[in-house]
Amino acid sequence: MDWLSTFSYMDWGQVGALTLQHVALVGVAVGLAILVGVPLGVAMTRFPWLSGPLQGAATVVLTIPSIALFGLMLPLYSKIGHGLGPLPAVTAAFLYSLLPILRNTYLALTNVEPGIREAGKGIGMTFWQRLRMVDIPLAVPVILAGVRTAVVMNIGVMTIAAVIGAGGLGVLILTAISRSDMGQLIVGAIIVSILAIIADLLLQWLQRTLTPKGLRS
Amino acid sequence: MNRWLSIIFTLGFALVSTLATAQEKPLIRIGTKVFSEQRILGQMTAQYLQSKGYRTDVVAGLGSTVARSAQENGELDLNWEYTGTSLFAYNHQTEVLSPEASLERVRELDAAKDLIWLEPSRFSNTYALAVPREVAERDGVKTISDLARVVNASDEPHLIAFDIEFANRPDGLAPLVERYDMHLTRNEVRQMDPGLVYTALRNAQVYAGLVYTTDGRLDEFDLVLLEDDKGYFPDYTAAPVIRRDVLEANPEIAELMAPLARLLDDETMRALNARVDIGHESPADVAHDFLRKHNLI
Amino acid sequence: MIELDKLTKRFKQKDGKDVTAVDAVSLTVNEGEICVFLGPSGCGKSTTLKMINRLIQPTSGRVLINGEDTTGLDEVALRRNIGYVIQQIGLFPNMTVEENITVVPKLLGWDKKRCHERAMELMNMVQLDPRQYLKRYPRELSGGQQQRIGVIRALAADAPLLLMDEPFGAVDPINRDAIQNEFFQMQRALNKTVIMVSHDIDEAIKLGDRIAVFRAGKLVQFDHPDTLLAHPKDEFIASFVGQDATLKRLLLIRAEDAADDAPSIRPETPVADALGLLEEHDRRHLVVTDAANKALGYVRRRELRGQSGVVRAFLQPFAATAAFDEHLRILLSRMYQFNRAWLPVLSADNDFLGEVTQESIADYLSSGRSRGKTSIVSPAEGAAG
Repeated sequence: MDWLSTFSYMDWGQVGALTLQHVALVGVAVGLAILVGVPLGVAMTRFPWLSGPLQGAATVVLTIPSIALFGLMLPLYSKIGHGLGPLPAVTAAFLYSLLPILRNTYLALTNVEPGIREAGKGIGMTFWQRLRMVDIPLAVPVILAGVRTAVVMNIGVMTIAAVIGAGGLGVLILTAISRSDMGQLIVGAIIVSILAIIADLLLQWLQRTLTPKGLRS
Repeated sequence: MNRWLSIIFTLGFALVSTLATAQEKPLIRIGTKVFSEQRILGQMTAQYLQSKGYRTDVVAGLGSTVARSAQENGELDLNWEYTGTSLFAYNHQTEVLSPEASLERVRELDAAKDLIWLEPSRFSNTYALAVPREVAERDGVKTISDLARVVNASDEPHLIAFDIEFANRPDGLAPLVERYDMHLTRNEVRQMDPGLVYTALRNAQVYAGLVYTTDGRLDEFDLVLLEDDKGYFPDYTAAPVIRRDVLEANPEIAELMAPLARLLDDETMRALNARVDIGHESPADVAHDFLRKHNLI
Repeated sequence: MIELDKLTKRFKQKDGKDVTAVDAVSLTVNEGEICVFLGPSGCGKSTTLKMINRLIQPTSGRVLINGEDTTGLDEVALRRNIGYVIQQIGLFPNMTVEENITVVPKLLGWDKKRCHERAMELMNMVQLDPRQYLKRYPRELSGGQQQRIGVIRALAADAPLLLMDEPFGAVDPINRDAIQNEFFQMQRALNKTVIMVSHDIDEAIKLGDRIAVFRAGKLVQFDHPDTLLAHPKDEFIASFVGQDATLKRLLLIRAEDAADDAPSIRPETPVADALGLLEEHDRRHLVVTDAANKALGYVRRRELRGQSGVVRAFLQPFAATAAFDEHLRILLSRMYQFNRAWLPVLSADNDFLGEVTQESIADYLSSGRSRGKTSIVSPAEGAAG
């Protein structure tokens, strides 16, 4: 394997573009999962009968391999002209992200110390005030841990999205395999790993920053 | 906040792009699979049609069934397809026909799905079994029958690499070993991504492997194609396949594509593939070069 | 100020049976009083407390605050007008001390300045330097400090009524005494009406103006602490208050209650008269007071015998005295400490009010009389209350 030649013939501009694409795909998917997952987690504390079915559904979805999920979505999304491209990829990653975020939100909210919950209720806070002023701030570190899981997982999953034309670093990797181009393959794999590491570190930092001061050790 | 904006943008953009249909020049959406030959064909088609006044959009690197499924669902207009692939993988045929009969049959079957086969190229990118040159010389393996002999003769395992799809299709591996009376144990069959077969052969990690006859890596990796002496592998002539509604809207495409298709034979295709796989040129550059050389643009 | 009218709570258990956790409890607590709900676990005292601020919905019965039936009121608005302190304290860990304290005022719409001033005022009341502590977080505080913050959080919105559920339970025993005393001073100064749940008889006696004893969901006795100790209504209560109930009463009874009407003499009384008086009452000493009944000292019989003149010459200063409002436990302790059989009881202005002796104390304790914090209650009254 000739490293120097790999670095010379690779289109680094394209690599950069694919990396940004990859980040955008994962970012949008996880972002949507937060927007949907956290309120659903709150709903599950309000209506406990929801927690079983919702968590069950999210778990089942996680077990469906990504290629199968893309295959299932293709005919559906084709109806609105988006069977290929970022939309199905983002949808799959969104669905995968739901479980960690949903579950962590629910767990964090239900694990608020009973003394704190009783005090909040007894001094005259409404359910929503308790949520806003106490429960959610306390839940943020745990929710972000779920986000971290979702992001790192989906950075890997999104490499498969190349097969439906969604772009991202998978393009690099799959093309390299089809051409027996070891150099490009390794470059692609390394970039994906670095991306995952950076994302994890960033989110760790975010988790620390957003943890309420009163909880930091 | 920014995240929200980008989400809204993405969703909004998706919506707008689906709504933006009616415009001046017709848009032809071309799909290609992952391997280099497909990318080159896709680029050639796109650049050629552009020079003829069409707008084109190439969605490259799709999984094989994804590309077909997308075309059936109206997401793609034109794909380069192979007679054998459509017959066996998409239409679930089992009979192996002559090249002419294959073309006729597949035309018939796909027409029923509103997919029209335009004038075909001159090359057939069919399967072959290949061995590294040292193996061919050392063990005197020149045909698939030779291979079968070697495999059956000893208890020592001989690993053979197949792509996953071929290994599991009812008209793939099973009838092949039956035809050649090759006794392969489950352990000797290694399934993998088709691109990896070449890597495995180059690294002598397998004894033999299933390759494609127009692949650009055959010469460079010093692989010898074994003769299909019992004529098992079917025809895989390549041709552009277009959706019926797109063809009816743009009937001149059929005539336009013909000269391009006629220019492509086995050797030409193999050479173009090698320029991408070995020479590391981009498919777009190679396509452009070819079209200019033949005065098509 | 707050009246419970036949407050009842019934649950349906998992096996379908009805269980009555609280059975038609009725009582009245006057403004500025501390009422302690006392009883063993499971007796319904906490449930009753929580029905007052509707953390638990009553099955039947009413709660009237200043005459107004609270049944129709919005429960959140009700709770914002009642202070609530629990055993686990429940300070919000993500908020600073100041934010914790000012939660309810902010919900009620007080402006920032007023909230901040209120927080400073309350911190000073519990001897915690606001400049140092307001910006801290609960986890940086000790258990005792957290408990105090919990209490002033309940007082922040200046609600007239305070509900407390075993509020001192989480404080370690060493600090508990000090914190209870501090709370008591605060309550007297602010004149808040308090209903407090406790399972500790000593705490109830120490803090309560009246004690409501619960058993199996029913209110079985509602009395001044001393009356409760002196006249427990049944075996159960008697064993609950403990076999040393009479000793516990020592904390409640004041010197002036147990003082006997011992005679006193003037300094100018002749020795012979004094001796005569001593003989008559079979006493060994006499307290000497001036014309205004201010105590000056005392004279001993053995020193007067065979002497002449006036008693002034033989005046001894008191080795130990008792203030009128000191409780008997202190007096006994002092009597043992100084090896005295008696102590003179003096008013704040040094008036001689009588003497306490072992006898007078025993006499009082067994007399059937008992004391609330404000007045002596005779047995007849005690039984009715």
